Order: sequence, then structure tokens, then C-alpha cells
Amino acid sequence: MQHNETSSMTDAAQMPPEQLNTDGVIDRLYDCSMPFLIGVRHHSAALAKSMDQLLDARSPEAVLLELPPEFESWIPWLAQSETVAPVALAGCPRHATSQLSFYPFADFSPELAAIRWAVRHDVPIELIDLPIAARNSDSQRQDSESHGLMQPLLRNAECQDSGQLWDRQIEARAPHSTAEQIRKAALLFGWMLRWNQKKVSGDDQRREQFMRSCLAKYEGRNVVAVIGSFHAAALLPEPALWAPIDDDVNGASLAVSDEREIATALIPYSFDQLDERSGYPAGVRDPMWHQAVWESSSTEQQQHAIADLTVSICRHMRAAGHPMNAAEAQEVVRVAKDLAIVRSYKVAGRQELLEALQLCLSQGQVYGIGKAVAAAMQTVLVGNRFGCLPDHIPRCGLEPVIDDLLQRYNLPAADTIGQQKRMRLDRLRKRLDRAREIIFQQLGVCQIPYATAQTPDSTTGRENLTSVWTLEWTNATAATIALSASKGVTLEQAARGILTSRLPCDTADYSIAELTTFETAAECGFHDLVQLGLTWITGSFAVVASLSELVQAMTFLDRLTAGHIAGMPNDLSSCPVELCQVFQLPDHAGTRPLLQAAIALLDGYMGSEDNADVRGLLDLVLWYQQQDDIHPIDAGRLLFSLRQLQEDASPLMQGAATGALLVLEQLDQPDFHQQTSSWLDAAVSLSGRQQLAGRLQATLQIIGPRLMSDFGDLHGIDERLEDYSDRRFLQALPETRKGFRMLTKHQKQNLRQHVNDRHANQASQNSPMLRNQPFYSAAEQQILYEADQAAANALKKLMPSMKLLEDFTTIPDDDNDGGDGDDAASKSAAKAGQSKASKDDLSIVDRWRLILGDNAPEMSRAACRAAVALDELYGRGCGIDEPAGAALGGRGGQEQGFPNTREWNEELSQLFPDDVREEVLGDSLLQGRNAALNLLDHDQVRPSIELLEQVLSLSGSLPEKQTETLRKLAKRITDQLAKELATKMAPALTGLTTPRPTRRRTSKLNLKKTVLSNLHTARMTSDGPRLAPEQFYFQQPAKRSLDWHIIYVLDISGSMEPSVIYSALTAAIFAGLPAVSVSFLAFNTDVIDFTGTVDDPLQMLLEVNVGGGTSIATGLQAAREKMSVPSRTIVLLITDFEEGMSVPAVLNQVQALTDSGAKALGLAALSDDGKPRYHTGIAAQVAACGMPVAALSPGQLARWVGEQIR
Amino acid sequence: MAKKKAVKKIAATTKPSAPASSTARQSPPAEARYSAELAFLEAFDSGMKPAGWKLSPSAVVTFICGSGKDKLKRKVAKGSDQSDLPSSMAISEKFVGNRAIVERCVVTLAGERGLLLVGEPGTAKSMLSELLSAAISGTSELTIQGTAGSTEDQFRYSWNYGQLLASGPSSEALVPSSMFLGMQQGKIVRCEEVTRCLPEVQDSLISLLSERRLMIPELADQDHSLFAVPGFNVIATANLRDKGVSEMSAALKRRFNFEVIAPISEHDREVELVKRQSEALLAGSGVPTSIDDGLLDILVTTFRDLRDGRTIEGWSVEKPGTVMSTAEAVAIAASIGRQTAYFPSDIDPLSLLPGHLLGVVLKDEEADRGRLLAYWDSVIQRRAKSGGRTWKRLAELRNVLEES
Repeated sequence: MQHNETSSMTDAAQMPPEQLNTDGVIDRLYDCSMPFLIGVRHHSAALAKSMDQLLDARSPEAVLLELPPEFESWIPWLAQSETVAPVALAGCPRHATSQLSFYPFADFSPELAAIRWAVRHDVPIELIDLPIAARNSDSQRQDSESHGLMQPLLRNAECQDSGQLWDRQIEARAPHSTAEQIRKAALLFGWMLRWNQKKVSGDDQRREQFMRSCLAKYEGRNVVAVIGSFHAAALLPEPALWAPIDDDVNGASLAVSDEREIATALIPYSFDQLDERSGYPAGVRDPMWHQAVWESSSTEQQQHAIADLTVSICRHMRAAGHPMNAAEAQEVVRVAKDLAIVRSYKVAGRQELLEALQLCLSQGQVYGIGKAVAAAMQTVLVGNRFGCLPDHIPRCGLEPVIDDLLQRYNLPAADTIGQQKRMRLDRLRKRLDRAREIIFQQLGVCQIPYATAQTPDSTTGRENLTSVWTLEWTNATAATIALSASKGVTLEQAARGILTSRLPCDTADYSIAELTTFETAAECGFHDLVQLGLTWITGSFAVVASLSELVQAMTFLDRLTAGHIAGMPNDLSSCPVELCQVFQLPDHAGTRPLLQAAIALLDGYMGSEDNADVRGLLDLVLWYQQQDDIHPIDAGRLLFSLRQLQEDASPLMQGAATGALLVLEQLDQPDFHQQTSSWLDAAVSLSGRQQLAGRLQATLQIIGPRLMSDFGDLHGIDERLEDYSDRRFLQALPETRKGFRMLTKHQKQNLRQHVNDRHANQASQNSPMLRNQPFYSAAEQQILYEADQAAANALKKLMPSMKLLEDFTTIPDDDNDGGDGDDAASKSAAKAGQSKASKDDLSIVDRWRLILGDNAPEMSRAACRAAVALDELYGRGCGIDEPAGAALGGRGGQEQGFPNTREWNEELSQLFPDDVREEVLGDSLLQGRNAALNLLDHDQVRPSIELLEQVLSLSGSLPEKQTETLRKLAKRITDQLAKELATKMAPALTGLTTPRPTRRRTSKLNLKKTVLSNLHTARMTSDGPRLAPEQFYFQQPAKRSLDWHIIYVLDISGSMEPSVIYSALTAAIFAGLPAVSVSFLAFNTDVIDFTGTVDDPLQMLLEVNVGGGTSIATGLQAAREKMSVPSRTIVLLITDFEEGMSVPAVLNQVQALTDSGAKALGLAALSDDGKPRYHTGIAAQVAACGMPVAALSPGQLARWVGEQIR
Repeated sequence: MAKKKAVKKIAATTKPSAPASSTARQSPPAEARYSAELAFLEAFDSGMKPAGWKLSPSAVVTFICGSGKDKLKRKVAKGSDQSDLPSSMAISEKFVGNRAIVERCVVTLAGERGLLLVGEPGTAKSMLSELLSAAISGTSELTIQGTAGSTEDQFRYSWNYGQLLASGPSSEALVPSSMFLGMQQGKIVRCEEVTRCLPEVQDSLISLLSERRLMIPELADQDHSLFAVPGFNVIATANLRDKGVSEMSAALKRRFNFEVIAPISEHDREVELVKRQSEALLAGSGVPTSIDDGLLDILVTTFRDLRDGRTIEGWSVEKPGTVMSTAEAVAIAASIGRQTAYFPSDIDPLSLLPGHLLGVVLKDEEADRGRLLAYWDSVIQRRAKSGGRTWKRLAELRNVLEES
């Protein structure tokens, strides 16, 4: 088609004319003079520009506009010179603010051009559209049947929708057309749309009928009708495609409500809101472009405008750090122009400009520079123009609407200023309450201070079905309403606009935080937003969310399905139809993809040491239990993952998985008993004990809720506790107690009850106090006990040599049970017929008490002492949900406590085996008992990453004096570790290549070698010797010196300690290599540069303070700034990929990094055990952007780096 | 899809525009395959041609995107010497995709920058570059196949060392590269897989593209630089999937306009393309069978589902790690066709599909088998339940995936 001469505007070559032009309807449209038809689109620079010319040519008696007559009073305001476009007209019935009719106007709106012309020429304006009052409440335009004309047309023009098609067919061709040609093309376009749509909707039929009845008044007069081009054909004297009006449509048209019931408003608007992507209705893409076209009066000016826009986009790109200069801008303008020529346009249109920008600037990338181009285009083409209204315009918009709403729903309004009111809403059953809740939520979104939700004091974690609000109208309320006026003309529109503006334009840019936005949207009853959210949640959200967030989303979906969200009722009986509609969760939006994503995440939990992950898993298990229709595949996949975790994950995750399997009834109780008791059995070595704590912590968290009713799960542990000797028990005690600390107060109480029930016999017999003085009450016992103790102390002071009953002083021990150890308690225990060996002094009940951290007076003395010693460290009997020490209240005084650490240490050394004592001291260091540092034997300490971790975690909290000691200890450990590591890494980093001859063809011939090895082919010819070489040797490309730059980008946001230590150590080793420079950046939400201390890992580790949020993008950005020669740079990103800010931003940075040519490696973990804990979804996306992700040991890292450098 | 051609070393004596030899070729170049259309368009074309081009930009677009249903009519001047050309001809559609893409490519080539086609494997990038160079320069033979072993010689020139040693540097001893020839003759040069070349080799393109001149310091004054003749430009292609091999430098990127070639967006067009190409393949290998439409539809549907991670019905699917390109679909269709033709029995061609699918999907990750099984259990099961005889049959074939 381009080979024909440039097709003129009205040339219908793109449309099959014979189908369209039945009865010459097209010509009738063109030629109709009563009225003279100008079919428009709401935003069209081409028509707006030709409007004056068209109207001048006709000089009509009146201008008829397709606007509801309710707006009549605003028309003069619109035309005033103080009114600066963009502005918007809005109208809605007072009782149904959701049925909003909204008409934004910009300079490039043909209607506004017509109004301005008419006011200038003093020609009356008549509004001929159907009054808003007479519109149907359910005026949703349905997709009716079509003739299928559009599809091929759109495909031919490669457009997505009719808006784009209009752009191609009318706007792009406008520069080489006359005003009349543009008018005809627009009419043809409208007719084509109409013809394509087989049946005109009832609403449109009624509007057109009304317009015709208005027209009847002007019979035979010279008038111009400026109407949507779609409706033009209906205003012909003999309307085309006109079916007899449907009966129901006809009947409904009679129900015209009172005109006073319609609220109208003229509000200032902005290009931001006018942009189609803003979520406000009736917008247009890239308003700045249209403005530029409207302002240019010739093709040269439009050319100039394109150059102008391009240059400012390039300027924005430069500001964003991408080198874009005149050459780039020139190429964009050239390509746009040439594209226009290939497509036979006179001047490039919006499409050509966009394509040229994409082609020349974005380098084929979605992320990185592609994002930057998109952002710059967005800023420049959308623009930031604001509308402005004359000063004396009447009060309108949001304020009256809110007044009205409050009045209608019987809520305190402005007249109750200063009075508070509490209101409980039964929002799920009562329609009125649901409406109120929606209003409060929408006010909340607009940040209008009026209603405050009372946080429910829920301890059960169950969902509340009612809500409580405190209402108060203050002066701030009125002021904020006035401020929000430009956001929209009804409360609903303002809230929707604000919510929409919180969302990024592109769904690809959504971050996790958007989940809350969508939850709010659901509360406010915005179905369309929720639909959008559902698509996102089941799509890209699922990939990047963490386990807890996935569960949150699944719960959200469940609430949606159940209709438990105020704005999303699922049956009509409780639905306030004037505010929201009944919502049905679409089929595709099930929880299944989320569940699948959650299960996939579990694979990345192998090495987790974080209790938050256990809670995440607990959330998932709890959610899972409530479901009854899980797909068998997903169920199988979940169990598979759990079993895998159970087999070889970190202790914490092993415990969690075991607990989860039990809860999901995939593990028999006997098997579970086996498991738990084997953990206890393994607690004979340091690592066994450490694992015990982790495993128990996690398991108990998961099965905690079950323990409330059933003690059976702990029988395995119970049996072991009963069997162990005291020594064996005490060995495992500290870690067991640590494990049980994870239970809540309620759970502990229940557990105590169960223990007492189970061991009721022993409990009553076993306590020495109780046995000896069976008739004393607890209070009396205590008094007696204290008296005894005071006496004993006194005696001890007086006569240190005297031997007291060990009830007071010594601990029963395997070794000394022969002589004095044969105390009253154990004797009586033996008398009582206890089956166990008499040397075991701690009864099972006491053992449980010790584990749970109770310090009951009826415990044996030995138990008491152990309990006190441990209380010192772990706090007494409290659950995880209450502050330590809370249980002490009212019962203090029986024990002295330990005034200093030394005493405590002595006590510990008597009570526990030596290695256990060191662990307890280590733990106490972590708890902030700094003095314990001195008690650790520096030379005896076995250097390990774990110990270094503990020591380092103290660094911040120590007073200056002790830092020296700490340093000494840490230095010893660090040095030793570094030495070990260096030996491991050295082989991978030695051996460098030197340039030598090669037979691979390179650019340089190695003449010497070639001649030498081909001497046998030498022949003497008349003019000297000749060589005819058979084999050639070349010079291998010379290696530059080893000027490599390694940049560590280390995440110090959370549980990355082993990786942190290894990073510091390996960095120091790399820094020691010749010609390798190392930069070290640590980030959480900020970046700290440790490059200066890289060769002193200890110093660096002492300065690093682990904690805070995660912003990987910030870290990478800093790394990019550090780079000088990208191709000689290695970037090591060490993180768990739990991005807290924006995932797209991370991908942008990764892309930018790999694009620059730097070698990048993402390390999910840098440690010896190779069990990483990372977010699999995000890591996969990062890997897709060109940064491989792995979990490596230091040795493997050295090998990798060595390969890159060599 | 266009099969990538082996590296073709062009000796100094070979003329790239030499007529296609009469011996049969497995895969003739575009200019030979479409010589009739090209000749017709050259006669038909009345538009303005950029210097050195054989066709005008819009004729190039027509050559690649086809002329649609209508035949193009040539204005035949009386006594014209080209009377053997038909007076009207329909130009076939060769590239399935947006016309706008082709327009942008053509416009880029008419300008100062090179054209870089990027996209996933199997999206017809190489074919598009072949068609473009055939239409613009009349030859698609000036090609450099980028590999990790590519040297700068392939972008510049090398020497006939025997001659060089014997008589010193001279134009005769110089062995030109495809790039050299393209500059000399003002033709389009294609660089396939440019990101596979080492960075320093890639960077030799920078000065060529910006200065349009090749320095030959070894030669005497008058010959020591080669200026590009108008009409010279570069089309490079690169895969997105195997990025990071050697990333292009920023300087080189700025000398290219990037065009992303996406997989075919419409289901029906993809089916049509797979049918056309696989039948052409079959015909080429002497098996003129047609492939069952139902089978093709299922094949393309599964490919699209797995490629997009989302089915037509809107169900989400776990994407396998491998690329599900149209080219692979063509290959499957062709081999199923061959199998039914060479071993004609009662075998149901549909039963061959799962095995072939597994062969495509299972490349580097064992987990992909699980993904395929999950797809079978969810999507295909559901489709089988809601009717669809073929889907039901396919669902029954699940065991094939587990066995092999």
C-alpha cells in the first residue's frame, strides 16, 4: 500500500468501503447540514486545532455539545481566560457517588476548543446529552457482538485498541490534511466503530434518542453538533443502524430523578491524572505529546517539538547516569523521521517517536537502561502541567459529597465538632455497617482524619468479624478534605486515585509493599484494582514474595473468597450497592500458584538459622491445615520438600520440618518420639548440643499450638528425661531449656499441667520438702526453707570446716554418692520405692521444671541450684511472648541470685561438665553478661566460626576496657582461621600464564617461531632464499598485568554472620595477592565502605554491625560507582536475596552491572557447610539477568576467582 | 527457521555475488530462493533508494512482510528489456511478526548506526538478517559467524603469509574478511552471534562503525585505509539467553540500534508458520506429507503454554528452564512427519508427541521433567476433563514422560 501515492485522509483503503457504505451513509454523514456534524474523540489535538477553522467556515447559530445539561452552569467558567486547562467536569447522583460521569478537558480537547470558540463569538452553547439524572444505574457498557471488522483492522495497523488506531489513522495523518479532511476521517472512524458493533447498547440508544429530541428544536437552523464520532450516525435525519428502541430501555428513560439530586463540580486537573495509566477515567496516553502537537501550527514546528522532547528525554537519561548526548538525540530524530517516510506520513507521530526512542536508546533491554528510558519517557511525555480555576468559583467537589455521605449514613458530621463517638460495626452482616466501614476505609486512604480503627486485643490470632471505630470531626478533617479536592470529585474517586498513584505504572515494577495497597483497595471496595492485584499476586508477586508474605496473600485470598472484607461482599443481601458491588473471586485467582511458590521457597531454606523462617513455615502449616481442597500434586510436593529439609538441612530447619510433618500427620507419633529422643541422645558433643537447641526451638514452635491439648507429642522427650542420669541430664539441660524457651506463656502453663498430670505420683512423693513436712502449706514451707538456709549460711561462715548436709551446699554427683552424697532426699526417694538408681537426685518432675524454667520451692535442692544458675541466664519460666523476669513477681526472695559473675561461674562449674559450662558462658556473653568474657580461657578456646561469631556479636556492647580482651581473643581466632583458609585457597590462586606462541590464529604472527620451525622448506631462488612455511605460529594475545579489582558487596542486614566472617577473611587474602585490589562494601539499607580496613579483617568485623533492612540495589549501585575498568572487575554479591525494597530495582542494578562487562557472582552463602538460606525466586531472577548465583565455600570461591583472573 | 550457516571463508578470488551454482543445496541463501521476487520488486520499485541499495526502504519491507492478498502490478514500459518478468506478482510473507519491526530495521540500516537483533533463540533473528541483506544488497553471503574463537582477522583482514613473506605486504597478499568486502563493495555485512566473540574482537567493530574506514597500516600510502562505500552497514544478532559470554562494551552498544525480536504473539499465526515450515522441511527431504492440523495445534499450544508460563485459559504453569522456541516446534513437527512417513504403520502420530516434547524440555535440568509432569497433571488433565478427545488421548500418554 505504500507504493501507491500517499493515501489521503478520507481514503478508505484501510477499511472495506463497500461493506461500510450501505445506502451511501458515509456521504450522508459528510454532507449532513442539519446539524453539521463534527465527530470527535475526547482528546484529539488534530480536531482541536481544526475546530476554529471548521466553526468559522460554518458560523453556526448554536453549538450543540455532547455533555449532560447539568453542567450548563459551569460552561462560562470553562471558557474564562483565568481557567487554565487541564480541568475536569464531574457529576453524579448524590446518592450513588460511584456512578460518576467524568469529563477531563485539556487544550487539545475538541469540546473545549468549541466552547472557547462559541464564547468568543457569542454563539449560544446547548448541552444535548442525556441528563445524568436520567441515566441507568447499571450503565456498564457490555461487549456486544461485533462484525469482526476491528480485529483485522487493528492487526493490519498493528494496534492494540481503537485509541491507538485513531492515533494512526487520524492524528498521524493530520499534518498533511485540511480541517475538512480531518473532520471526514473522524466521522468515518466513528461510523466504522459503530458499524462494527452490531447492537448499540441500551444506554447509548437512550442518549442518542435524547440528543435527537434536543435537535428537533433546531429544525432547519444552522447549528453544529460536536459529538463523539461514534454517535454521529445517530444524528442524521434518518439515523443509520437504528434499531427500534428496546422496550425496557424506553421504560427506564421515564424514570428521571430530580435534577437537584445531581452534584456537579469543576475541579483543577493535572497531566499526571490525565495520563491514561493514572487510573482516572477518560484519559489519553502521553498528554505532553498531544499538548506539543496542539501548540505547533506547522509541520516544521512539530518536527521541532519532537526534537525538543527527545532532547529533554536524553537530558533526563543523563541525569540518571546514562551517557546520552546530542548524537543519540540526533539518531532518534532521524529514525523517527525516516519511519514516518517509510509509512508515508508527512511528519513523525507519537508512535514513530516512541519506536525511535525504544530502538535507539534502550539497547534491547527491559531492565537497566530500558527502565531508565521508560522512566525518562514517562516524565517527559506525561508532563507535570497543572490546571487552574478562577478564584471565585462556587464551592463544589469533595466537601459537599462527604457532608452528604456522613449525613446519609447517620455519622457525626461537622456540627459535632470536638465530640468523640465510639462505634462497633457488624460489618459482615449489616448492610449499613458495611457501608460505613467502606467509607471509613476510603477516608483513611485520603488521610482525612475522622475515623480511627481500634486495634482489636486479639490473643487468639483469629480474624475479627466486627470492628470498632472512634469517630471525631475536627478542624483538621475539614482542612484535609479541602486539600484532597483536586484528587477527585467524590470520596470514592479520590481514594481510588490516591491508591492508584501509589502503584507503579508498570506491573513489572510492583514491589512487595503493593500487597497492602491491594488489601486496602479491597477494603475500599475497588473491584478493578483488586482484579489487577489478583493478577499480580498470582503472577509476579508469587515469585519474589517471602514465605510469610505468601501466606499473607493466601489468607487475603481466602478472606476474599469468604466475603470477609468490607468492600468485597460475596452476597447481595449484605451489599451496600450504592458503594460497592458483589464480588466473586475469579477462577484463575486461586491460592494454588501462591502455594506452589511457597513450596518452591522451602528449597532455599536448607541453611536457615533464622527463627523468622520457622514462623513463616508455621504460618504456612497453619494455613495449610485449614484447607480441605489442596491439589494432590502440591501436597506431595510440600511433603517432599519437608522431608528433604528433615533429612539434611540446618538443625533449625530440620526441627521445623519434623514438627511440620507431625502436624500435617505425615509422621506417626512414635516416629516423632524416636526423632526427638534421638536428638537428646546426640547431645553429648558440642555440635550435638547446639543442634539440639535449634531443633527443639523450631519443632516446639511448630507443634506449640498442639501442645495446648495433647502432651503425647513430648512422650519421647519425657521418656529420655526419665532415663537419664543426673549428669547426663545436666549436660543437655542448658540447650534443652534454650529450646523450650520458644513456647509461649500459655503453652508453658499447659505443659506444666500435663507434666504434673502424667507424673502425678512422683510429683507428690518426690519433693523432699513435701515429703518431710507433708502438712505445711507452700508459704510455710518457704519460711522454713529460708530459715534453714539462713542458718546454714551462718554455720558455714562460723565454721567453714564443718560439713553440712549437701542439701544446702553441694551438688549430688555420680562420684560422691557413696559417702556424704547419701542425703536424706535420695534415701527417702529410695524408700519411696523409686525404680531409678538412688544416685539420680532429680526427679522427672523437677527435670521438667528445670527445662521449663520454673523454680518451685518443692523442688529438690540440687534442682533449685541448677534452676537458679540457669535462670540467671535465661530468665525465669517465661514464655517467648513475655519479657524475661515477669514470672518472678510476688515470689521473690527464696534464692539469693548471683551478685557477680565469678560466683555464678563457680556455681556453674560445680553443676555442669566443663564443656557445657563454656557454652553457658558463651551464651551469657550473647545475653550481655560481659564479665563472662574474662572467664573464658583464651588459650584453650578452639577457634571456630561459631565462637568468633559470638565474640564478635559482643563488640558493640562492650565497654572500652574489655574490648582489649575481646580483641585478643578475636585476634587469636581470626588469625588461626585466616591461616587455615589461606592454605586452602592458595593452590587455587597460584600459577599465572605467560604469553607464548600458539597455533591458534591471532592477529600477531610469531615470526621467529614460524621461521624456525619451517626452515626445512627453505629454497634458494635466484633473488635469495625463500621460505614456504607449512605451519604458522602466532603470538598469544599479551596478558595485561594483573590489575584486577574485586569488589565485595556484603549484606549485613540479618542472619548472615558466617558469611560475613568468611567474606572479611577471604577479602583479606585476596587483598594480599599481587596486583589485585579489593574493595569492601557492606550494606543494609545504607552502604558502608570498609575498603580501608580490608587487610585487617578483625578490625573490619569489629566495626560491622549486623542488622537493619536490605537494599541490595543500593549496595550494587555503590559497587558500580567503585568500578573503573569494568572488564577487569569482579563483583561478589553476598546476600540471602531477601530484598526489602524493590526487586525490579535490584534487577536493574544487576543488569547494569553485567552490561558494563564486569564479572559478577551472587553468593547465597559463603561458608564451609554449603547449606545456603536464600530466596530462590529472587535469586533465579537475578541469575536470569546474568549474575550466576551459588553457595560456595571459600576454597571454591578462590577457584572461581582464579579462573576469572587467569 | 533459518539454519545457521557454517562459517564461510571467502577467499579473495570468490565473488560474493556469483550466481548460485546449479548443484543442489540443502539450504540455498535467501537471494537464490527468492530471486524471482527480488527481480520483480527491483523492476517494480519506483521509490527513492538510499545510496548503494538495490531496493527502496518500502520495497524491502514489502519483500519481507509480503504484499498481502493483492498482487503488485508493475508498470510495463513499452519495449522494455525486462519483458521476461511477470507483470504482476504476489510477494510472499517471509517473516511472521510486526511490520513495524521490519520498518524500524530498514530505517536503522539506512542511517549511521548498525542494527543489532536480539531475542531468545529460535525467534528468526538470523533469517531476518539474511532477508534484509538479501533485499538491500542482493547478497546475504557476507557473514561472520561469531564464536569464542573468532579473531580480529575475521573483522578486518589477514594475510596470505606465504606471499607476505615472499614479497612483503601488498594488496595481493591481503586476505580480506567479509567485513572488508562489505565495506569495499557497499553491502550489508551480517555478524551472527556477536556476543560470543571475545570483547577485544568485538571492539574492533567500533572504529569500523563510527569512522566507516578500515586502516591497513602495513600497506603503502595510497592503500593504507579502506573507506566504506555507501550501502555498507552491519546487522548483528545476539541471543539473550546465553548472555554474559562476553558482554558488549558500552561504546560498541552505542553504535547499534537494538531491535528485540519476540516470539510470535498469535497462536494461529504460529500454527500456520510451524505448518508451513515443517512441511517445507519435509518436502526438502523428499517426504511430501502433510501434518495433521489437530496435532500441530496441540503442539503449538503446549509450546506456548510452557514458554509463557500461562495457558490460554489463564492457568499458570511452571516454566521449564529450556527455551521453547518456534524453531523447536518446527523440528518436532518435521520429525513426527518423517517418522510417520518412513515407518508407515498404524502408529498414532499423537503418541510420538510426549517423547519429542521431553526431548526438547529435558536439556540441562532434571527438574524440568517434573515441570513437564506437573503441566501434564494440571493443564492437560483439566483440558481432557472438559472434553477434547485429543487432549484425553494425550493425558493417557503421561507414562511416556516418566519412563524415558
